[in-house]
Amino acid sequence: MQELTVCVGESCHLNGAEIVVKHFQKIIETKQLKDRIQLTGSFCIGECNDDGKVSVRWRDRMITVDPETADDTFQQEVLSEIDPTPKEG
Amino acid sequence: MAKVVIGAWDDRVVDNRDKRFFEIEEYPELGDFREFDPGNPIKAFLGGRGFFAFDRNVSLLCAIRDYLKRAAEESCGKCTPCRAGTRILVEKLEQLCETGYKERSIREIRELAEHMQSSSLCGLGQSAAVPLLKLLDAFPEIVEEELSNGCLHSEQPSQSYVTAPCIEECPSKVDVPRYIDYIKDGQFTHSVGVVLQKYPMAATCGRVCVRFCEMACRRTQVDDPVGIKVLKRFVADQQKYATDHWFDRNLIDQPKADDLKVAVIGAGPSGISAAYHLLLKGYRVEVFEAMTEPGGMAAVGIPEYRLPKEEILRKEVAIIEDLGGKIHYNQRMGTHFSLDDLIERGFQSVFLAVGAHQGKSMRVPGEEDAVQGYISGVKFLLFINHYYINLGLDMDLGKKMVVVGGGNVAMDCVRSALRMGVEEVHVVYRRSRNEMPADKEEIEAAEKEGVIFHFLSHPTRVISEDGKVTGIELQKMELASPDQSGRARVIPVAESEHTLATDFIVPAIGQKVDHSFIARDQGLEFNEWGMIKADEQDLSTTRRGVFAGGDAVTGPATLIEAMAQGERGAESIDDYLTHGRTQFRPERRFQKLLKGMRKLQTEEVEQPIRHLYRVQVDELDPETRKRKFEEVEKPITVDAAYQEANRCMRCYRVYSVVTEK
Amino acid sequence: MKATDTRNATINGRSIDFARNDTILEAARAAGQFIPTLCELADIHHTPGTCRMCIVEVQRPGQDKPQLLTSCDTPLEPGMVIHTRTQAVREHQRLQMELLLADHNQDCASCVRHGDCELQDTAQFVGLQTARFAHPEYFAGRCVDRTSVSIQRDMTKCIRCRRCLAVCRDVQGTDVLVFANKGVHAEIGVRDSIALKDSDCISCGQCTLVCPVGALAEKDDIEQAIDTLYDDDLFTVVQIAPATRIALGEEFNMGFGANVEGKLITALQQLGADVVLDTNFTADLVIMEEGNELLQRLKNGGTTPMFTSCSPGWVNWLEKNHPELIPNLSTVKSPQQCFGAVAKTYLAEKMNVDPKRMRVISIMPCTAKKEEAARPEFLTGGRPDVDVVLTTRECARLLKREGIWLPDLETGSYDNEWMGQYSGAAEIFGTTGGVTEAAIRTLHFAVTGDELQGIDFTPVRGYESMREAEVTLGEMGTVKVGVAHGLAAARTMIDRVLSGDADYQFIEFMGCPGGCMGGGGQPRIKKNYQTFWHERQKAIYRIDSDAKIRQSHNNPCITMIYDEFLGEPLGHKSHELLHTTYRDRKVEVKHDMKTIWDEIRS
Repeated sequence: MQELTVCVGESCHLNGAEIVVKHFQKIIETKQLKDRIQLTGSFCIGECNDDGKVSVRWRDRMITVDPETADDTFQQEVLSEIDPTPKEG
Repeated sequence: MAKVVIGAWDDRVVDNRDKRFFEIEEYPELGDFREFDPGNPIKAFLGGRGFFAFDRNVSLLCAIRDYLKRAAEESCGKCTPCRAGTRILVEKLEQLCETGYKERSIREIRELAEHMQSSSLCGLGQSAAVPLLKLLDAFPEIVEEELSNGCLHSEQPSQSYVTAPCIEECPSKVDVPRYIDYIKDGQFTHSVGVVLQKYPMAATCGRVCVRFCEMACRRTQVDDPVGIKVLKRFVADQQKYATDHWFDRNLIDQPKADDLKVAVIGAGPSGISAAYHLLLKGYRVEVFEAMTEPGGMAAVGIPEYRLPKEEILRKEVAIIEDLGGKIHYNQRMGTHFSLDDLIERGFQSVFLAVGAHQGKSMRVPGEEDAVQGYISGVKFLLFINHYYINLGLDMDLGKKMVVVGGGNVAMDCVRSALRMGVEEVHVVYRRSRNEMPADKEEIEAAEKEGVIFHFLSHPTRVISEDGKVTGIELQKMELASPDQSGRARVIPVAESEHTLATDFIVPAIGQKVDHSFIARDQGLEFNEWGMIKADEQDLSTTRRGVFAGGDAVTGPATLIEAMAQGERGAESIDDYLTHGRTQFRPERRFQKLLKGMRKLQTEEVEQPIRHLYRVQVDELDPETRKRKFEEVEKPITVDAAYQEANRCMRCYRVYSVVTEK
Repeated sequence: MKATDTRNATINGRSIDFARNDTILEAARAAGQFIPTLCELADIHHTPGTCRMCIVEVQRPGQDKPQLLTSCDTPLEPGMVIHTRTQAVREHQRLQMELLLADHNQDCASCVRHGDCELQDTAQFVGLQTARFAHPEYFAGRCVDRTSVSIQRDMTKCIRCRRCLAVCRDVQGTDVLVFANKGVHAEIGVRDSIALKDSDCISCGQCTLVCPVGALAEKDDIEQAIDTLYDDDLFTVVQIAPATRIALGEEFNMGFGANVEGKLITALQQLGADVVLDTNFTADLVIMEEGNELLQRLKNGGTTPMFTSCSPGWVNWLEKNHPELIPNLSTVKSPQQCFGAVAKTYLAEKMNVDPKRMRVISIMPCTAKKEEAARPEFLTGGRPDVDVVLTTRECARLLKREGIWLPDLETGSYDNEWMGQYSGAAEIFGTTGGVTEAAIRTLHFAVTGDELQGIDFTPVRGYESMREAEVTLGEMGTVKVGVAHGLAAARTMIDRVLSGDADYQFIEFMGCPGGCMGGGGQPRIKKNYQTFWHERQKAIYRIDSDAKIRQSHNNPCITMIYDEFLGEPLGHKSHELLHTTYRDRKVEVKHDMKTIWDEIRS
């Protein structure tokens, strides 16, 4: 289980944390990653920015996510590091 | 002040008939009794314990006849003496007028009146005949005189008002005994109908109201106050489909002109209540709400386990839309639009109900530096609601939390934190347990669930490392002699500082109005405490056509007060848009009169009543519930509701005034 | 009550000890001091305090003047000095009575309760000397609802004692009645202002048992009965219910539990009935059909638990509240209805009577039977199978109208070779647990070939509102049965069925507390509610134990009707005449705010 934490502190909230959360939830649901990725929220993690981005912690590093491209960021940063699901048969 | 010519109230008899007006001393316990409405003097006042006449030219028999007529209308009809007695007394008085003074008729009338007083079931019947009896006892010659002058032939302008202590205490003046009567009678639909006359949020109020009514309930003199709130919740829950099916535009009898649009800012209790009444009056209403969900403080500040948002709050707010109102979410005044914009868009009047959502800071060193692990109480609840409850997102709140404050918001924070997995939850409060302003039940519930309380403890510093909170420094307090307002003072104990390690600090020490919704040049003034300046009577602000109510005007108060302000705001806007002036409302005048004569109204329960314990409300057990957001209070059964309703003693009294016009 | 809890007061000079919350009335009764009361009914713990008749003078310690307080709901306090018969008390009681009459329909002569009315009684108790107030305009607007064929509501006579509310809500749990309007217009109404016949009322008539005046009563069909009995062109067949014969005597001062079967037969013959017969015969028939139906369901995996269907109040309740459970109901008609069906076919044939001339009159302890007889399912060729239903009370009134004083009559007997016999098992239909016991006696024989040892099956007997028992039926093993009487118990039992907790194969449901012996059409006993169950029930079991034939299957008339007419239980003819279907009668009421607010404001 790897932790994916979205900051929902005041600044990130105003930058669209909710949208990021919803996107991530959807991907995790459709790709059935619930037992591989633990999605949590956290109040301010101290990485507030003025660029309109939302701070996200993935495993041991910080990423900034633009709500408009949340799906792409997830692909690039998160999915690429998950062991591929073993094929059936 | 009032100058009494003749009067009889309880044991006191006043007879100033031989004095001239300037010689009469004013009656101290009567407040402002000179005029009813401007230019309309009060000539006489009748109540359940006697009467006062302020003028020599008034027919008391006429007044009493009208008084009894009103009592007859209010009689519930259950008991014989009141139901038949009031009507027969009125008939006999009128007959007496035809025949003139007859010893035998007077005797019969007195017999009937005494019978009503001594054997009626509830306060209404017991008090209805009292003015008549007092007159017969203390001033029989006046009775003779009036009859020989043909008193009852002419009509005398008079108005009456029926109320009870619980009604008067309620900021919204909900007709409590009436909705309890309907429960006794088995008509639950009509019971909730009575409540819905005042505001649409009946089920919400039945869960979270602070219950001023119960504080005034006379049943307390027997055993416990009647469970007025619990009964309200019962009927509101029973009629679940009421919110879905009962309301539509057919309820609006007289729609106003299409261009009479009103903007309501804030979809909290005050705004929703204002919108409700404005819509029923026929205006077009649009509500602008900054958040993405309605309910204001009720949505944010009251957690799911006390008030389910989806099933209860949102459904009740939807009534506004059923009535044709529109609610725009994510529309923050000051960010997305201004007051001037609204005027440009064609809104003829605005009701500001923005609430008081900005958390007060503790103002201690280190507070500014803390970024991670610090959030104000109201914001905390808002975010939990939004992410954890609505979106189902697990939240990491650390292992230890310290909440500072002693009100309901603080209790909501600690109980919510437990439910979200925080292992150790602390509450720090400046004074002692007795002074904690939170509901006693909330404090007890929090204790049962394992919250750790630190009384007489005050924060002095926030400790953090690289912007992340690691602890809070507290100082012990001790009680000192009370201050001018009678509130206990606390003084710090020297050198008692100690540190409590923690991951999270949540200050919940009060809220203030966030001024960012309006720019300085918009003509709206605030008072010295930062609340919107609004007229006490009609809630008008310093800008024409703009009215305000709720927490934004009163400061953080209660749900019911906010809703009452919403209703009053709607009335004022109606006056402004349709009548051009503030209308006189007899009921409000009576309420003021009664407030002014409080001392003459305290009443003891005069008969022995069987003790019947108050309904026990079952709760989810503390161990199970502290990790869940399921509603803690379970509903009561129909049988329990009947039983509880039967405890209500129906303390109605009739009051009437005789006026010149 | 511990000794240290003893409190003391005096009533009329007599010292009494009491416990907290004891009322003045309770203490007075214990001390043998009579206080006239009207609305209160101790048997259902009903002390609404609305009539205000029970006022007494009370001097409380510390008060300078005595007060007038109602005794039914005022708790005693230590040191109270109570007087029940001072002149002031008597004058107030009389004035109270006058006020009660002020908005009451004082047309006693035409009222069904004339001579049997608690209001008239109370007027006597207080020594009423003049009734000064009569205001027909006060009751002119009140509701008179004659829509139901079972129960009539005349609110011009209602004295607002609320006993009917208490019984409907607390005892039966149906909660159909409400208190409506205010002031002199106050009356008892039906929830949502629906006509009684269209409401959730199930016609059990318990409200008519407790109403002190003529406001609630059974629909009076005596005139129709007389028309039928005295018409020479008609052939009248009368059936007497099991529970009627042990209660009718109460209306003739014969005490509780007197079996007046024989005398009633004579009376009915005197009134012109062509054939007097017994519902017990068809009760036996019902056992044959229902017993076999249960066996069939158990063998073929049919819907269980199977519910009895002979109580129309209960059937009404199920149709109106849980129509989804209709498949559980036995399809067998009630004994009353089976009687109507076989009388107009089998009996008519045997006695060579033209069925079109035949009329069936039944004498039932039940108000719901009137509605049952009028059900569309029970019409044949446009005529109801059972033409007239009289309650036990109406039967008594009919006899008295015709100058018949029951105790004076000779004891008659049934004289009809085709339907004139019944078994003890049939008679016990009149009490809760009886149908089940009768069914078990026959089931045991049907499955094992042997009679149940001891004949009786006492585990299902008793008074608790819900009971259960197990019986071993030979190779079939154990069958579990449940019994419920009164609708509150029925509701609980149904909740258990719905939640899966009720592991019975058969449940007997009776709509009235006690079963038929406590039916809504039974004689009333003033100031009592279901107080004489024991005597009535004893009489019923006595008839059973004294009977020559104890089991339904041993009734020779039953054997005959199958051999010569029906063929076999559940056969084609049985299905045609003795089985029925049911309807979804759930009422959904829609409300709207406008109507409610208009009513609140009126």
